[in-house]
Amino acid sequence: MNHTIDYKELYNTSPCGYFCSLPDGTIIDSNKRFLEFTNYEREEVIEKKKVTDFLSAGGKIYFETVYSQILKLGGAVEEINFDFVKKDGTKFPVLINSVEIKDTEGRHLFTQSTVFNISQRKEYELELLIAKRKADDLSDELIQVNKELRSSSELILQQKLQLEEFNHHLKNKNKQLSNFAHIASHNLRAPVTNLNSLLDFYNESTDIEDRAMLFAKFEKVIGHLTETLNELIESVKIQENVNITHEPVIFDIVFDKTIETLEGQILESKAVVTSNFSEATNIEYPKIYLESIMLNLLSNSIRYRSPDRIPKIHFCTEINNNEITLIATDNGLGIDLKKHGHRLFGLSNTFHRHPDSKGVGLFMTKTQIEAIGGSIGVESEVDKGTTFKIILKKNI
Amino acid sequence: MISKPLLIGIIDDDEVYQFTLTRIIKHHKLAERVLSFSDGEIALQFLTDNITTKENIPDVIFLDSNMPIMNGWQFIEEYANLETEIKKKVFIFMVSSLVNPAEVERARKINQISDYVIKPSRLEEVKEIIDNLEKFL
Repeated sequence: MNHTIDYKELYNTSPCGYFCSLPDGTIIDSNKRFLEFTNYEREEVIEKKKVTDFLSAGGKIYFETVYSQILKLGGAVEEINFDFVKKDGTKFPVLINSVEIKDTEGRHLFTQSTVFNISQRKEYELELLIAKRKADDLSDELIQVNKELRSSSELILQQKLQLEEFNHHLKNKNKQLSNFAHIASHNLRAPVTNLNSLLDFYNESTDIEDRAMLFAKFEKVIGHLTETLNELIESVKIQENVNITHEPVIFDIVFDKTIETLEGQILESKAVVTSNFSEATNIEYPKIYLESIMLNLLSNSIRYRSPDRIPKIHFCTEINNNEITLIATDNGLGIDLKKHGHRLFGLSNTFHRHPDSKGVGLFMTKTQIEAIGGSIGVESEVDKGTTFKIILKKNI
Repeated sequence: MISKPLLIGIIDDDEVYQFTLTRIIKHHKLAERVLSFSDGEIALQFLTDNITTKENIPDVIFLDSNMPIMNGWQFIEEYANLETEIKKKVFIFMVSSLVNPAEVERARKINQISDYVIKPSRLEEVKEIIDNLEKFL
């Protein structure tokens, strides 16, 4: 079949609107579709309305500043988006393509424009925009939740670290307590048993001289018991006194005081006592503990000196892993750590047949150091000397 | 059979305990002689010096587990090396003022230790051990 279509029909019923305007914007012709879009009668538009009459206030500004400029410069514009105002004042979105028609001399005669109704596309775009906004909101929410999770995770980590530290502290405390219970029962039970035995003898004995001899033994045991008890009480005091005041202490000053206290013994033993506290000159620490620690270490080094050589004793400080360490080295008798290492810091443990060895000093030293959260270690070789390394305080 | 009268050794750094245990043993004639040593090293030296003199080697030893210089456990280690040269059964009782379960287990694994007990301090406790030595043969 042969269809003949009138070009006028095509012009009028094409799915897009056409209009022709003069350089001043006056519309001089339009197709039916354009009139349908805008709801105007032909007579209301042709020669009566300008393009800008179909535009909102904002659209007019855009028309003058962008659309007209591009058209003037390039002779054509493509897909410029406007909202066109219908006769009833409602708006619909359009895309406009325009070309300038010129005469042979290049003068602008009129402008031909095509108007695409893009209401559907706009709706779709709006939906997309809304969807995108929702996605953005969701993403923001996720970021927020993520941030919260991260901060809770940090908090948990923080708490975990605190718990671990607390646990470590408790373990230490527990160890101290169990150690203490063991030491207390061991060191108190023996003298009490002795007292009971002596009491039995005393009650059974009728001989005055025998009774006097037994009484002397009572005194000895009671003296021992009192001493042990005092030491234990002292150590309980240290362990309970966790809130003892820390003050700035200068190692040199405490050391000088220690030397002064032990001056007689140093002179008598001819010991050469040296020190170097340049690496850590001072510390926040309970002064009385540091004094007691230095006094115990120095008097131990003098007491257990070797008779075969001039005693050399050196004290110094070091900083290792942010921890202030006090080091005391001597060239004395040394201790067989394989044999005695595990009992070195126990109460009343001695390792030398020495008239003044009592074994209290190191026990008290260890108790003081641990009460502040530090630790004490020892290296020693028999007949070479001993080095005590004391981590006084963590995290300077 | 266990030859009596007995020679008893006390290895303990507690002088008063040495005295009270010796007095109980002597007073009740539980042994003919008592030898006291204030630590493991002194006792070990005595055993080494008297290794061939059977009559100077104690039949029963009360060995304190916790002593300076050489404690009971260290003494036992050294004693194990001497044991074959000693021509007599020596009953060694590891004693302590407290019984520690870990040490009970440790003592059970050592052949040289007859038993691990709380330090006997009354006549009945000492007699209980000495009258029942056959149990540990």
